[in-house]
Order: sequence, then C-alpha cells, then structure tokens
Amino acid sequence: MKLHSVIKINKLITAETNRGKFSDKQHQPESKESGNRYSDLELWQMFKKGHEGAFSIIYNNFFDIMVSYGHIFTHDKELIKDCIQDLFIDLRSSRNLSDTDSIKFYLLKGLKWKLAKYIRKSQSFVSLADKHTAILTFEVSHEFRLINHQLESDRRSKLSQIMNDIAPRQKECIYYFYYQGFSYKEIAAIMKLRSVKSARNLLYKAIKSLKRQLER
Amino acid sequence: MKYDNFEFEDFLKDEQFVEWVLQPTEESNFFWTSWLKHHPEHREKIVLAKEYILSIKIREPEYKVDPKEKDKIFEQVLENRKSDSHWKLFEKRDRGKAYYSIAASIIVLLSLGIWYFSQFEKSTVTVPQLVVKSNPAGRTSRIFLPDGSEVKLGPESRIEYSSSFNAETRSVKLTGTAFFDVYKDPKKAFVVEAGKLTTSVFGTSFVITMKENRNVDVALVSGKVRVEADGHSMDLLPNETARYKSHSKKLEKSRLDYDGDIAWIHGILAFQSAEITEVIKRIESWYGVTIKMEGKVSDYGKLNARFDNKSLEYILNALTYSLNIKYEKNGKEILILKQ
Repeated sequence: MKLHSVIKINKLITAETNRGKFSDKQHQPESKESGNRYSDLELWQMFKKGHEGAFSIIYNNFFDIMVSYGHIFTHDKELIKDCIQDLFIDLRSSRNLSDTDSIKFYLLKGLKWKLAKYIRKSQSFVSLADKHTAILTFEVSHEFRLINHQLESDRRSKLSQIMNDIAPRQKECIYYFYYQGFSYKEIAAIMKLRSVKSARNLLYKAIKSLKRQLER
Repeated sequence: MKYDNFEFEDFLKDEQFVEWVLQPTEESNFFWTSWLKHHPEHREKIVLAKEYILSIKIREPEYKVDPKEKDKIFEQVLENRKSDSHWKLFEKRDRGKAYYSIAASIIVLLSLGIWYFSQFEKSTVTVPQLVVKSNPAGRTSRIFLPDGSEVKLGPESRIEYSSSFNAETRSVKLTGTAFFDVYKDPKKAFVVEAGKLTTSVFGTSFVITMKENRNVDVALVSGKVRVEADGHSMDLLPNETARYKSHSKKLEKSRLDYDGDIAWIHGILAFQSAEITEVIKRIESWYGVTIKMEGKVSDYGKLNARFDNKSLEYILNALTYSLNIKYEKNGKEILILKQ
C-alpha cells in the first residue's frame, strides 16, 4: 500500500539526513556531514508542495524530540502523543504554511501552543510556567572532558542544583538557548516575549542569577 | 572584531558562539580555530564556556514512545484521524460553557433589572444543572472535572455531577467503572456515590468498579479514602481494595488486584482463572461487540490471560488456541464454536 512505500522511502532518506542540522544534542554531531542532502528549508518546502516522503522524514526526525519537549510541561504522556498527532494532522491538512529554516523550532512552538491549550482547558494546572520548576530538571553531565579543564565534581553538582533553583522562565530560556540551540528571535517567539531584546535580557538575567549563586 | 574584548560570560550570551558549540559546521569550525590562533589569551575562557554549555543536559523522561507506536501514530496522521475521543469531550464541554456564560450574563442582566426595582432581591441566581458523561461499550474516555480532578471513565459507564460542582462540595455519581485522580483540596471532600457505596477523599487516586450484581469495588492507588455503605465504614490505605457485596451488605477489605482493578486504565485486559462468561462480558464491553457462544460454560474451562493494548482479532485468535475453539465474525457479532 501507499503507506508502506512512504515509510520505506522515509527510512532510506533518514539514513542520510539524520545527522544534519536538525539533529539535536542527543546525537551530538562532530561537524555537519557532507552527506546531508536537504536543508531544513528545502525539506520544509518539499513537504509544503505535497511530498509525502519529506513529511515522513520530518515526522520521524522530530517525533522523539517533541515527546521529550512535551515532558517539560506535563507528565501526561497520552496528552503529549495526542497533541503531536493533532499537530501533524493540522500541518498536513494546511500546507499553506510560512517558510522556516528551523523545522525543530516550528514544531516545538506548535506543540507548546497545543499543549498549553489543552492543559489550560483541563484546568488541572494553574499555569504552564509554574509547572516548569517541578518538571524541567537540568543535569550537569559527567561525560565531557575537554583537554585541560574539567568541572570539578562539587562545582558540577552545585551548578545543576542552582540551575534547577532559578525562576521557571529563566530556566525555560536556558533550555532553549543551550539545549535546543534556539536563537534569541526564536526564544522571543516561543515564549511570547515582546521583542528579541526581552529574550536577551531574560537570558542575561538567568546567567546573572546563576553566577551570583555560584559565587556564594 | 567584536570578540576581542569578550569575557567568559559574553561568550555564553553570544548566539554565534553557542551555535558553534551546539551545531558546529565546517565554516564555524574554521572561523573559531583561526580566531583562537590569533587570540591564544582567550583560549581558557572559550574552553570553559564550551564545557559549561555542553554539560547542560535535561533529565529525560523515563517514558519513551516505542518505534511501533510511533509508526502507528504516523499511520493515524496519514489517515487524517484525530486523536482520542477525549478531545470531543473537551469540545462538548466548551460549548456547554459558552451557553452557560451567555445564560449567566442574561441572568445577571435580568437580576440587575430586578435589583433596580427592588433592592432587597439577591443578584445572580443560577440554577445548577446535571452534567452527564457516559461511554458506550468499546470506549473509554478522559474527563476533567471543574476542580481539576481527572476521571478515566471505562466502557459502559457514566458519571453525573452538578454544574455547580466545586462551588461548595465535590460530589459525583458513578455507574460502571472509573479511575479518579482527585485534585487535592483539604477544604472540600470529594465524594463518589456508586450504588449503595460512598467513597470520600480529599486528594488521591483510586478506582471504583460497580458490577452488574450491584457489588462495588474501590481500589486505592495513592492517598487515603473512606468508604461507607449501609452504615458501615472503612478507611483504605494504598494497595488496598474495599469490596462491597450487595446481597450480604458486607464491606470487606482485601489486597489490591492490579490486573483486575487497575490494568484497564492502561489499556490492559487481564483475566485470572476467569470463566468464559466473564471473559466474554469483558470483551463485549471493551470492544463494543456482542458474542454468542455454543455449548455450556463448563465446556470451556478457566482462563488466565493478559492482553496489553491488543486488537479484538488478536484476542480472539489467542482464545482459539488456548480454549480449542473456532470463531466466526460478522460485523459486530461474534459466534464462538467448539472445535
């Protein structure tokens, strides 16, 4: 059937692309590999023109990232899966979408709105931001050893503790900037900030409070 | 060059720098290595900044979606099937709300008018209405009550509550099976009436199952609840189940039976030394089908089984092997025959 051929195509193409720009930190790329055939913009435009293979690549490349992102806002895995499903259906039924050079940003933003909509409706949480403190948990990893430097272990554990103590919005901002690699412009959009400058200020504040705590 | 006077923190705030750390490209690698060659005094700062950025991780959720499920959702997307029925419940509730708010504003207007003539009248008067949510066979749904509590309602089950729920009390009437995850509110007890049995809690999660013979089970997952029936009462602790037998009017305590009481919430259909009639009843209700059976109950023996989110066909085929039967399926009707 058609469906199966789509999945097959997608598996062929993913093998070549999943190390590209849209791979996230979990599969840390050493450098952008030359085998990467499509940029985000190209892939997105192909999808908009109705290319089911492109849609399938997008789905398969970002699904796990979206699930992981959803967990920042709720523990309800069914809700996350449902929202992802509905988001992809919406995208597919209205291909008249704006262009993007970061599909990841586009999808995470869409997912956040969907989740927020349902979480607010369900009234089971007072506000999305309040929940962050409980759910988004940073860990400072032990794996990285660069040539001469290494975060000593007490400094490391102190850092992860401090990172989880800062204000929820600062935390969310740090997550986007250092974990998802979003630009200030993207952060402003996804966090509904007034301007790029507000996004900058939010991050500066976050760094400042981290620094203040660390120096104590 | 803008980076020449950068301090450690400035690098942390710089988009291009962070982008290079997170997603290095040939160009950015070239840029930063050659810049460092000319500014060896910045080396320490940069290495440290890089290390800080790369060491930031988040605790990943314990729950992962397995590839099969991922493919299944993809197929549903391609078939343009929106997710579960519970969105429909949301939508319905919304529409209800809209009417409600229109009604409320009319009442407010009216009563303002009345107030004008007689200042002794009370202003807003709303008449509470009964809200009913029910499932046919073959469907489970998720319902959020106005206080934020969550109800997973089983197939062939219904709950009723007043539209003024949460105003002063939180009380729900249940027929059938439901899982309650109650929002904590020490000021207002959450009361569930199921037949003769009343369960009151303040914030906890538990399952109530009302059986056809009017027996009721209350299985407690977390927190603490009080169960009352016919003047008897009992406090439950987690992993305990209270069983109310309607003919003897007795309330008994036993250990929680995960498969029997809880598993359905996770889409698991489980039986333990169950007779074929019970199995058939559960399958009928679970999938919304009717099953007719040839021969006597005793012909079939007892059954232990556990089906984790399986299709009807899968279960019927499993039964074929273990009970030595055949089946014929005709739309929503199934006939079970002896081999």
